[in-house]
Amino acid sequence: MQADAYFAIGQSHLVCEDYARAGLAKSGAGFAVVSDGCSSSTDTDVGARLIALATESSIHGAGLPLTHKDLEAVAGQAREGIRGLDMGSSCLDATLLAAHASSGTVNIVVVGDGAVVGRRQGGELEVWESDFGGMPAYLSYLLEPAQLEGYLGEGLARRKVVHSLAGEQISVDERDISPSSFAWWLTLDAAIYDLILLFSDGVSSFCTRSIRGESLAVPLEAVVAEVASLKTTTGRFLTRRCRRFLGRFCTANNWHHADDFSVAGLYLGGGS
Amino acid sequence: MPILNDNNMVAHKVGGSTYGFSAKRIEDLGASEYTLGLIIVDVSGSVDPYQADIEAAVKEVVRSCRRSPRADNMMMRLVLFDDKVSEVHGYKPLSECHEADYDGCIQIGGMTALYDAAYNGIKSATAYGRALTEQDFDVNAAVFVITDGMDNHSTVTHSMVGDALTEAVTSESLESIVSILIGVNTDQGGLNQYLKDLKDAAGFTEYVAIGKATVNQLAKLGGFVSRSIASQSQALGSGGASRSLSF
Repeated sequence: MQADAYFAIGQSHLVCEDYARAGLAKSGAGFAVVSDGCSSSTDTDVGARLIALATESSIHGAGLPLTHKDLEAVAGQAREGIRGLDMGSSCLDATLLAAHASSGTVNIVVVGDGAVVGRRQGGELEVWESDFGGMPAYLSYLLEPAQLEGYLGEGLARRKVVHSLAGEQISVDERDISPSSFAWWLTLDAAIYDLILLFSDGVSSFCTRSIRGESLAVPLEAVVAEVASLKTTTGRFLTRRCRRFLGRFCTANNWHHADDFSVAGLYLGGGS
Repeated sequence: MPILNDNNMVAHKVGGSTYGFSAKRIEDLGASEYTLGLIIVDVSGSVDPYQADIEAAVKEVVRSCRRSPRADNMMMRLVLFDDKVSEVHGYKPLSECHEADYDGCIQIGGMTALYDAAYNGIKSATAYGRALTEQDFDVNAAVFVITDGMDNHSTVTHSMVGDALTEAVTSESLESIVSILIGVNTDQGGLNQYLKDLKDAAGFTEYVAIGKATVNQLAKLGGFVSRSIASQSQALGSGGASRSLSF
């Protein structure tokens, strides 16, 4: 099992509000965490880190947050991190994607926007994209009843999850999601996949230019395929791949990402 | 025959040279980037009076580099030459280089195959750098050729050494390379001018002359090499080579 994470600031940002971590838990299980701070709230670079660190702390303890109550506890622990600082709890307006691999299964939790990618043993990429249409539900809302009420009252709690495999797509649209359903979970059989990647929604922000100079969106699948084309899988395997992808491939192909980009992953296979 | 290699090292051939090199299996490497530190040491007969000081300098390089904050991103290869070129160990992470392993590593021999050793070393850095780059690693190199004599036993020419350096700089196998020719006991026998000319003809980045091989000067040598490797490692990612350091 190998775990690695990488994050990079997007062109439209002054501070990178994405954060990613990965490693091995004390139990030996692999974990990966991505958190993306909301751009319209202040200090969410700090909040994204606190959400990720609180999640990691949970993983080291009881394991991946598997219930709504677990996630409330993660949000509460993250809020402890800003106690005494002149920061509102809105700094914790940040998404969360986390994975935990042990005993032949990979459990994944998703709160907000982002994408989960599983590479099957045969090389096929399976993608679950979670999209709240720009107004994702955050764990921090669970800490602030007034903010939660406003979010729900405006009818913003809508989520679309698109599941893609082998050119086929299944889309699930949900409206008026209740707080207890802000998160969704996925359990994957580790025997089927050799690589699990968690992306912030920055993966969907890549664009290029047409010959006429028009901005063209780069499909998420194309970005994911580049990141998943690992050369070696030991140690900082994602850092190496992402640096080369962003530093050379994107430059050569005139791809740009406006939003911050982050990815955390687990390589479940054996040696390289 | 490398004496400090283990089963995780892979042998590579060097085109145009009798000698090859060995290096850590790329699949086993964990860091995102590496600086290849290559030390090529003259062990011809004339080195005999200060053999122990050269060995101490090599150990100082290992000790200092292991203390560097960049230690996890450094690899080292140690090559000796007299009539022939021999590898004490191939490119391997600093974490696998231990000072005690270098006890007695400097064994004095015969003549001076300076060009063969420099050629093999530079080609090895380019070849391994290329292999690492192709596997997404960012790589640069720092090459040190330490000699107290003129070449008198090589099969390759100094122009081939120059071609190898040109290839190292232009092939994009390495983000950058610094190549430092270090003369020891250069106050005697026209060696200083010979090495200055070699530096210019082959295109080494820098030439350092140690006029007299005193204990103090050779002690400084280890520190200079390790600082230069660390500096080059800090430059990795900048697109260019490190600044020259004073001896």
